[in-house]
Amino acid sequence: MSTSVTVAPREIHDLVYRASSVAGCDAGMAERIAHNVTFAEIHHSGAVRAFCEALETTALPTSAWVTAPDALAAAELAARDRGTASVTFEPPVPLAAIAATLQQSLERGVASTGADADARADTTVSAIELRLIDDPAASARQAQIDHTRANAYRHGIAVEQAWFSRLEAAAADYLVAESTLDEIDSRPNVA
Amino acid sequence: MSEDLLAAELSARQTRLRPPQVVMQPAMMGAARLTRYSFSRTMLRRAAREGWTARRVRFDIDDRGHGEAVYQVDAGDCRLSFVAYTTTIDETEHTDRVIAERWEVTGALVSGEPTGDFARLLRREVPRQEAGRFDARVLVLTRGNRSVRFFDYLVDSLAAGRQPDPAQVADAGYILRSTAFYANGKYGMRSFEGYPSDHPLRVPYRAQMLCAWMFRELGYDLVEHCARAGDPSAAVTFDVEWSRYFGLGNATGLGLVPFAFKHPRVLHAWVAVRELALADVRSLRGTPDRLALVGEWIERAHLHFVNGTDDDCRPFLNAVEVAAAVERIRDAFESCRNESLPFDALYRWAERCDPETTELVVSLLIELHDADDDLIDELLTVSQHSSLDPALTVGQVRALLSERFAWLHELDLDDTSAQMWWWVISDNTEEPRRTRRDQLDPSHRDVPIDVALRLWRLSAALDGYDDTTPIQRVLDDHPSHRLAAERLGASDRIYGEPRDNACSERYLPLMLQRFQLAAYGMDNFKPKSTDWLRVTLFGGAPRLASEGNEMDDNWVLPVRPRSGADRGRSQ
Repeated sequence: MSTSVTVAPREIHDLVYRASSVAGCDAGMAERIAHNVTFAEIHHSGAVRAFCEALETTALPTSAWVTAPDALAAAELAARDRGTASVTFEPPVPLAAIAATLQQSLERGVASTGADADARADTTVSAIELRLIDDPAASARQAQIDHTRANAYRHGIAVEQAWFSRLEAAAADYLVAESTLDEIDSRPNVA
Repeated sequence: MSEDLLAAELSARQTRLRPPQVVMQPAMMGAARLTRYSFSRTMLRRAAREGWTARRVRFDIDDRGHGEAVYQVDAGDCRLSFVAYTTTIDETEHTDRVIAERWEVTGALVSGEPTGDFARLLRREVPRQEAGRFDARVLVLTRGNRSVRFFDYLVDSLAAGRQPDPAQVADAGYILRSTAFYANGKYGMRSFEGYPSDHPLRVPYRAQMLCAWMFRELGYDLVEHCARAGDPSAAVTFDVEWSRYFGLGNATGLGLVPFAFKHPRVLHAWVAVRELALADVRSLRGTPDRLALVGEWIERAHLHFVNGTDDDCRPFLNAVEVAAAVERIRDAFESCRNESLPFDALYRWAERCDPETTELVVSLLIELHDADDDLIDELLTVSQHSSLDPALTVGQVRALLSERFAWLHELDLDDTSAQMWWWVISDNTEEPRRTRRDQLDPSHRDVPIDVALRLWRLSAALDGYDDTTPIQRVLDDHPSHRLAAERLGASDRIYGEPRDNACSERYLPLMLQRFQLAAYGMDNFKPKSTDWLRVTLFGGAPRLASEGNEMDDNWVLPVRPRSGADRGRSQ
């Protein structure tokens, strides 16, 4: 068993945002990745690990972590027009990259199949079917999401220490050295 | 939902509200003052109303003021503790900046009682501050230092059996000065959303306010303890006039600015509560009781400020200048008393004056407002959940930009000076700072609070798109505008946006900082540069042992105690 550390959801969000930014993502992309990973870690586990592995093996700004949510958004538009739509991912994408995006579509009345609600966040997804539904708030899944989310915010989330440390290391480059900033402020041409 | 409630409250007063183009201007935000609904006051009213009890339960402090103290609060069924570890450091190590590595006081507000393993964890981790690791039992983390100028003076005075000389204390107003209150999930602490709905701290900043109130108490206890240690036979405690006068000092830097730009719905709620109250008061008739109450508050403000100093507080007014403004307010109020709506008349006079006078009148008038605090708490607790609908059309986006961000046209956002600064987080305790773009390239390390610039560029990027095009298509072509598009959707409250560009050469952080500090309940604004200032919190407030009438809400704008000679003459 690897040791775990209990972290607050915002810690995951902030670190993933920073790591995504310094990996080259624009702020909007980084924010969406952070939202997906945090949501996936809370509701599925394994998202921090999936994200760290991606950081170490792919160019994040052109990866499925950026493109898959856009593909889902386009499919959602089609489903809202025609009642149903589908999107395929080749290669398959980690659930962690799209979990919150799927939930947002659900909140707008577009339900999905293809990603198991009980799957870990590092499970890959190859296709999603989308369909319009009448009352997204009434779904049993929504009640479970609310309950799990409340628990995560109240007690924190257990994350594998090793992966959390790697996430912290990946995010560290977002910070600028205090000495650099002080030196700039001391330059004669800087007010 | 509280947003619906707040929207309904605003809608009911729609024609009487001040518009955002007035109140969200930097100059007006930079003139804000604490009001009856500032968080320090709502916290203490709640404590009084619900009979919270607070006590010191441990004080293992030596003669120099080094050791450990624990204070306990029972808030309904909820027991909370403030633990503090105290020492002294060399004066040269004192700094108001958040980046210090050592402090004379470190503390934490925690859930329950610090015993056993939990006590050991706190003893080990709290003094490490940002380097420490906590869990959801820890609610707030704080630290600070003694006032270099006054701590020893106060100890020596009490040890010699004397009360302090008001002339020596001037308008310092504090014994300890804090430099940070961390909460809401930082370093593993409890998330704000993690408080159950019936928890006494499930109101924005209530945990930090409770923590600050006990931090202030510790200052009093340390001084009196060290004085007793200095001369047990001669030492006295603070008398009744001094025992509530001192607040908790605070040094505030740039960290507040990103918060305000990142949370438009929170900002809206803070402003909206004040504006609702002002609208209500302006519509009141001038009954003798109401007129007398406002008159009393004006006199009280004068007594408070007239004893202050004429320090350089630019761009704000110093205490002497504020006292002069209060005298003009007093004269104006006299001429408004017989109007059918005298408080509205006073406000209308004030809005023709400078922003500091306007907002001081707002603060004084709101003392007449008596909204249910449960309602205020609910209005302040907002959901920030928002997601961009990809089906939103370019036509709708254009309409929203016009409705919510027309003010961008006033900011000259195409000029190079509009992006002189970028916002950065330093590697030293993660302090937010700003640095010049021409000196250091952001390289994807910028804190994205360049809201005005991003929305301006989004607006330009829409050129050439048909009104029926979904925004998702635009973002497919221009992914760098995603954050702006998301913000446009989230900025759905009238008071959510400071009408300023945080990256502009002309941007002055003090304006937004002062607004937030006033919302917390801080006063005595003393800028030390364009980027940071000192303030005081809980000056005049009840103490932990206060009960009954002592816990009333009538404590702000305290009058500096008189000297012993003056007291003798008045007897």
